[in-house]
Amino acid sequence: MADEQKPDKAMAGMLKHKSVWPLASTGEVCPDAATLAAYFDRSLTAAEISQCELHFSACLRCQEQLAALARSEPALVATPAVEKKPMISWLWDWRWMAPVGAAVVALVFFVSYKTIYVPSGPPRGEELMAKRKTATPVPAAAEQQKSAVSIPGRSETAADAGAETKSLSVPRKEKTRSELDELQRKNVAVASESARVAQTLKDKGVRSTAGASGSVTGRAMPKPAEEEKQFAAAENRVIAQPMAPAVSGAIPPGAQAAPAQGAAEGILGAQKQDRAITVADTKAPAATAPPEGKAQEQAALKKESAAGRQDAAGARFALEAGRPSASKLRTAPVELIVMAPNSKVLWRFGSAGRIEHSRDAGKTWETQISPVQESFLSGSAPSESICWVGGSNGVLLRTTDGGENWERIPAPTKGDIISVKASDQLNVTLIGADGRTYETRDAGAHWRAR
Amino acid sequence: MPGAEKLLEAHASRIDKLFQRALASASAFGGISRTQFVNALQRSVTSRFRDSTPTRADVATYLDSLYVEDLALASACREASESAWEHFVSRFRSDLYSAARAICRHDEAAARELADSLYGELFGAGRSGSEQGTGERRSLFDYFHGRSKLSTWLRAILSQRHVDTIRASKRTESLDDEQTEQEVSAIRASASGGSESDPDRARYLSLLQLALTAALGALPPRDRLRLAYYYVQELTLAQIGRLLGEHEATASRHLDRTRRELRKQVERALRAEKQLSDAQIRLCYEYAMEEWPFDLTRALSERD
Repeated sequence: MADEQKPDKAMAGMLKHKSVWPLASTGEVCPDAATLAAYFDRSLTAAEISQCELHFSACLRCQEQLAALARSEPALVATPAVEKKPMISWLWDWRWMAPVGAAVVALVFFVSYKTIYVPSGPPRGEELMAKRKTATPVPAAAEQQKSAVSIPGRSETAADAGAETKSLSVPRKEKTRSELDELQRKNVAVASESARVAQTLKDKGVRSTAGASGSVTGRAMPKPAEEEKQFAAAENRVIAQPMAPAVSGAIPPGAQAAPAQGAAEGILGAQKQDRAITVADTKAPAATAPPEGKAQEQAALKKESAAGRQDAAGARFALEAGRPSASKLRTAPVELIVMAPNSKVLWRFGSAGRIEHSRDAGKTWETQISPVQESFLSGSAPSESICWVGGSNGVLLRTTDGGENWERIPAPTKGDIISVKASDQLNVTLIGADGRTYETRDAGAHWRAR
Repeated sequence: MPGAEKLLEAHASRIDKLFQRALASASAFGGISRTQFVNALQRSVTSRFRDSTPTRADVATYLDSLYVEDLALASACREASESAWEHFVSRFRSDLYSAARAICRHDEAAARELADSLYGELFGAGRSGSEQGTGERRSLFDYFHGRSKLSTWLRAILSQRHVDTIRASKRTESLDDEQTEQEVSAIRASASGGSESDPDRARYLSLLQLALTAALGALPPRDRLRLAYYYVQELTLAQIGRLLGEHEATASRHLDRTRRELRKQVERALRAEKQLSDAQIRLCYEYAMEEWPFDLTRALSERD
């Protein structure tokens, strides 16, 4: 045995024996069970905690009681035992897997970049235009009427859904270039649908907000500047371009812009953009027939692009869960916003466990104390004072006092929690990144998988 | 301390908000009256500020920190509300037994006995008080003041009772203070019968132990507590972190730092005060390893 290890082993052996430990004087009274419990739940004041720890550090009885209390903690008891190592345990050794994995990822990125993003053929924007023309038609207008983009309209939907708020996010997984491209293509289809609806509304005398580009989730990815410009320009054109003649009778006058069925009840906002929630106004621009021919099309698009860019500067709305916008993938990391049924109380969850709260529909925000530093992925606020949020690595938080105190709830999974749906402070349903669904009816004391 | 009623007078609107919160959760078990709730708050405030004169801000902070939902349930159970008891049973009974099993290290018989006795006391006291209807009802729930979760309070009672039972049954073993001297003497005595021929073995062991005890006494309480949790109570880093309100990685880091500091202090004391050389200090450690063998690898793999 190395000489250096001997003193440590010797000390460790001695420390296990109670005889070496200085003891409390017999005159001190041990705290009662209520104080021990309050200490365990961190409900004591700082002065009380110091006083208690001074006593505990020298009182074997109190240490034994606290140790027993810690052992009986459901979160720690329910923690799965050390996972059985696979048969070929050396294969899962991180010491060689980490550098090899990093090298593989770097190689994939390099190859993808070279093969997919090297410009060839027509400019990116024109390519998107061509793809947009072959995009699928807009869904039935009747379905669009169900959902509202603006927040005030959402309350009815929320009421129908049992005053349940859903937030939107996707797991923050890095995407390869090919996945991004696929998402871009999907987003183009969504954007084109939204543009057609926007045009329809314009024809009807209603102006929609800038959320028509589609839902916004995912993570920003770096992109060459040249393509960024082309894509941004193309996106603006896509947003503003009318797809087809206005859908007759589809949208009643004064209706809010409704991009698609099942509009989200939560919002995802860009980090740097204004988060004020805009309401569709009823200004009636002059109706224009859809331009024909590419030149006329571009002329019309130029006109609309200014308005489109203005709209784009406002809040972007998540319209359908899980349908990311490629433009959003290129901006800063997306935050998670969860809205309470009254539409005025919002929580905003950022990176590194950041939590903010608004009581005035996002006009002002105040930071709240977060007990974790993990990222958040999904939340649900069944009332103005109750909010549940789940995140990476099995993080699950709950507040029942409007966010003044956030407590960590033992989660049934150590993986990412990608969906949270709560009906009150006790009943909540989670979906993990592994696809399993978990339910609790007692605020996480017991979980049932289905 | 001014009366609890007087203390709460200035917090009527805050109490209203707390009552609304309590009422929202109390709907699950038939509700609670405002009078009941305010009485529970008064008992809680009285218990908290028994020995002090709080400011208005102190009372406000205290009220806001309360787990009012659990306080409402405990108060309703204290009043022997049938629906509250049903709710309590459905919510806490299985947790009570799980906690007892964990506390008793999965000794099923001991766990059942421990949980049954507490459950019976909670259930029986609450109900017998209402049946007798004479004088003031005394219930175990009287001692719950909402400063912690009800589940934590129940587990704290279980832990306390379990430890006191063990200590009472092991009164003749080395848990009491009087045993410390006996252990030290035993160490010294056994040293003389060791295989080593060094006549100073006992002296070295004694010096090392005394230096370690002094160094432990000089540690900040939190560091000492962390070490005790790890070595004496054999808790995991996660459990230690939970007790001290820190992440387990932080607990691990602090433990390492404390161990290094402890060793430095011990060696400094042996050199400066006892005039031991480096070689003699190494001997101290070797004799200690023989006297108190510690399988570090096994301990780490079982715990962490």
